[in-house]
Amino acid sequence: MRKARAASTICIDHGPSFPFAAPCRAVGCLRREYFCQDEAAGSFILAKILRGEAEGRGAEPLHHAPKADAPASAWDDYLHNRDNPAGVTQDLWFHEQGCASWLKVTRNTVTHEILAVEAVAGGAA
Amino acid sequence: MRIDGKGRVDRTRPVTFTFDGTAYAGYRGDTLASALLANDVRLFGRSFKYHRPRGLLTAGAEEPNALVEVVGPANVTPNTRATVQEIFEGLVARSQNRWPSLGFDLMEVNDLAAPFLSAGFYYKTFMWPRRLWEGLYEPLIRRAAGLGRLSGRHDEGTYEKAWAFCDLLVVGAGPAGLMAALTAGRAGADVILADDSSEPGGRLLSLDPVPDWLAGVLGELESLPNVRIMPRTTVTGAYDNGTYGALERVGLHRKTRPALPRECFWRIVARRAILAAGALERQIAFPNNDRPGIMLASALQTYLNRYGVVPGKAVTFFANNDSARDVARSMIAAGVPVTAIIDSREDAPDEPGTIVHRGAVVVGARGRLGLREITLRKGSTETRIATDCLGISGGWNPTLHLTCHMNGRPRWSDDLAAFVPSDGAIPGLITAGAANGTFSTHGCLAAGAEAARRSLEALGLKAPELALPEAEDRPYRIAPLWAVPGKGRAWLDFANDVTTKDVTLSAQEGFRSVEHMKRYTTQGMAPDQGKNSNVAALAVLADVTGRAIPETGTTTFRPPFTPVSIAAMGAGGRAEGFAPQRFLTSDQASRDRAAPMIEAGLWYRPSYFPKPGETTWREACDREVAMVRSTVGVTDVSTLGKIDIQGPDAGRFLDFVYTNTFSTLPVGKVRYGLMLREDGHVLDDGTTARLGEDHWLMTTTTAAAGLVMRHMEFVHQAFCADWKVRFISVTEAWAQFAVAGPLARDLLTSALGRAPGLAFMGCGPVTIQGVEGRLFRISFSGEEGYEIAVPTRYGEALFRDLVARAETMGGGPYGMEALNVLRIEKGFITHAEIHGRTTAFDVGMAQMVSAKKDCIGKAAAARPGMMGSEREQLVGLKPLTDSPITAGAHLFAQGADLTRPNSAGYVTSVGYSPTLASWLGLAFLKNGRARHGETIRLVDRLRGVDVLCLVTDPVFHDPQGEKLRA
Repeated sequence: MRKARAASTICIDHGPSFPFAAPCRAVGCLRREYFCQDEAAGSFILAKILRGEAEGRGAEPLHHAPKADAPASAWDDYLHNRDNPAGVTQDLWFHEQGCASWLKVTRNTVTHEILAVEAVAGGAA
Repeated sequence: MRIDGKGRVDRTRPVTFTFDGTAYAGYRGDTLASALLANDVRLFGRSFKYHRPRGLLTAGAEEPNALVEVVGPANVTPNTRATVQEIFEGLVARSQNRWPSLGFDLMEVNDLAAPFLSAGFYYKTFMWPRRLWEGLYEPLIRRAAGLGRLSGRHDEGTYEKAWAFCDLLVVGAGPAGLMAALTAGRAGADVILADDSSEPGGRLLSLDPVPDWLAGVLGELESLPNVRIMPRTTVTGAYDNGTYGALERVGLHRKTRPALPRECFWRIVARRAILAAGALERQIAFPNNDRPGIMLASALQTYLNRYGVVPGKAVTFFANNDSARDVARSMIAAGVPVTAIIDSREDAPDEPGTIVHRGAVVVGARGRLGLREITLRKGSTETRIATDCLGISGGWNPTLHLTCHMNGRPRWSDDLAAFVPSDGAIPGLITAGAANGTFSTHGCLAAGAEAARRSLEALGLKAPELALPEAEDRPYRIAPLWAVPGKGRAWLDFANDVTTKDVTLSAQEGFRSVEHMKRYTTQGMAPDQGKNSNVAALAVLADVTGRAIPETGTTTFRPPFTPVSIAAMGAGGRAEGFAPQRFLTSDQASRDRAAPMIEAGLWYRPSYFPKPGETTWREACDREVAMVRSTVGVTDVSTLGKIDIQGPDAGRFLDFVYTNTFSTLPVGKVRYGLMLREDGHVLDDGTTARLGEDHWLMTTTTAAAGLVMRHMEFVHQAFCADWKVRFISVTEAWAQFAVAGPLARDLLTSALGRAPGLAFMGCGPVTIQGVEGRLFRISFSGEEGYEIAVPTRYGEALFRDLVARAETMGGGPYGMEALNVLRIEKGFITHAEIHGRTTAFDVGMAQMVSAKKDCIGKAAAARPGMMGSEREQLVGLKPLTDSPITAGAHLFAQGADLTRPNSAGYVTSVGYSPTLASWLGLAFLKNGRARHGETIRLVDRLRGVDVLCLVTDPVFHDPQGEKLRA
């Protein structure tokens, strides 16, 4: 799993016609998720970009939705607004045809280096 | 002309082939290029733009001129390099880009018009009128310019793709590659040695004599079980994490036969790699340097020593370095007269057996269809020399292409007058030998062994001591010379017809950056991708702009190194290989009844079951709908996703993923549930049954089965990993059939041997003919409905049995078309409605979002704009006339202009309802629930539909659900 990365990206909603390396841009598509198919590893992987928050996370949970009564802007940030840095970023990956783990992957978008992989559910990936 | 006693071709194995309809003979081991040269063929192609007659320039994969069509029984492959294509018995090849023939090409008129056809000509000339761009100019230009043409037919050939893994990938089996592979092989590493030629050895095979140690090294490599030698395999690209693409010519050198793949595209994952791809010799630009008979000195060497062929009777050389000297010596030793060596260096050494013109340059060449004469200039004196073959050596460019594939930029070496690869350009890859700018054979051997030692160290293996074979170790001395000034056009990029004048013009017109120059002149954009011209073009640009080469820019290369056929990359993906197919257990039974199949995701589902006399699908569909409404119908619903959920926290988990409450559902009951995404939009709907205290079975829609599974995994792992709940997909474990209609209960009573005894939304275990199954009383048709599930292996038998029983009762099977009409009549939603942009409020299910608990998507669904009268809401539509309506149509208020801002909504599903004798539609209409009873205009401009419709409640049939609960 540590070696996996996006070979191509396909929107869940709009399929292979929209192979963008960024959130799907199909008209009306609100998805900020996309498939990645790593053919060499023989597995389908779903990636969902987390908001860029790589620094100083300490003991915070890996994935934290806003509170139910948080302002709409907090939900908008959580759901839709993403940084697209040239450098270190974090994504969520799904090992669909493997162990079904959701993983938080820290990687470099320039070098494609995988820097860290943690299980979203806690524990080693 | 073939030279007796020379070359490695097998003289005992003659091969006949045809080129442009003429039969020729060669030998096994020949390429198309060497075999044609042996037959004194000098003309191989016509140039891209000017249709200039062209011969061979090289003997390798970088060939820009000799691009031909290879005609096979199942395909025609254009732009095949004659220097790579091996001959075989019956090979058929054709020249391209000429009319009517290669020797007499009418389009050569372009060459006379050359003064007007310089770089940018098309852009400047065909500017107006604009309407002629597509209709006139482009077709004309395309006809006049270009190389090979596609056949326009499917490629029916066989292709393969494959994956390989190794400790060390060695790219190139020349001296450096061989030593690297041998060192690593002896150390026990898992080695792949890939080489693009038919035979490993690289430049060594072009030497005279071939070093005697070569056979020993190859023999040892072949004997090592941990070394795989892959001949005819070009490593085409370097990618992340040690992944390399490679194209193997599996069957291109053989007669086509069934199951023999033409090519195989490899993905090789290597822990370490060594690039030992050698170097490419470069030419020197001078007027008319593209005449057939002018080729690289190294190519002459290869044709002579490897193939035993000399392409001329009186050979001359033009060089700025020593490497042409070896070739001249080989020629003289083989008895071929070398008329002269024109060496641009004032201090060039003498050469026994021929004349050396020091400090001289070639300034012209004559012989349109084949070189006859060159003009050399020394000081201010010009001399003509009769020669039919000129070997050029302008120095060497390391084959560093792979090191650029991950954005690595090569650096300029003044000593070599060439770009050399930067260290670490590809993680895990070391460049060695000529590819790294080490040109002596000894230097290559040593560099290969050293690269292997470093790679082994990284792999944690110990490198063995290895004695290097004896080899020459001469220094490389070069005096850079890129272009000879003079009258007439001097070619840089042969394949795209780019001359030094074009590059100069580019700089004059302001395109001084190398990137702009390339795009303006198209230099480097032909099939050879600038292998023969990038560095020289950069040097000419540097000269024109008064800058040094490193200052002017750099050259870069992207994958693939050589062209890769799409057929190889997509091997196995043609036609039905494009996607896996999922078949229902009832598939054969449905096909037996001539049911046409419709694709639903990867599934194939019966569309309808035609009866004799029915000529259209509508007749069958109408009959099937009426059948379900009046008697009983059976349909396969196994494609729905089924997720088995267990654990003490399962109910709590379902409460969290569904908007409504499930934990209160009694055992033996089923509930309809709605699931939201985190952003508050509807993800999916379906029913979940409580089979036991801690055991649940969820069904999802066919379309969203995988999506729901992923979503649930995410919710569980991200938000409640400590809850005691586990789930797994059991979609393929159960075959499930819907039995629906007023006689459904009778049918089940007969099949089960007892009354089903289930109230609406009840479920329970059931035994049917000795098989343990499950029975659910749920309905997607609006009639009394059951779904019965048995383990998959019993599916076909049960389907046939249920259909047979139904038929005795006046019922039968029904397909997707009828299923769709039945659900539209009932206003049941599918993913046509919950398409990712609709909320629970939109589909009229806001009351299903429980106020008593939290669930995924609840908070987001309450954001501004997610509910209210501004939303488009689900409504029913009934046309006022009996005209058909279409899904995708837009809705407009009567009298409103038909413009996008006036669209009040859109239609998601339509069908003809035989029950109501009317077309029906489901649609989303702005503030729709408050507009029942209004008349609205439905417009579909694509299909010419414009109909007035009544806005209604989405439930057309049995709105109280009395039949359902009967």
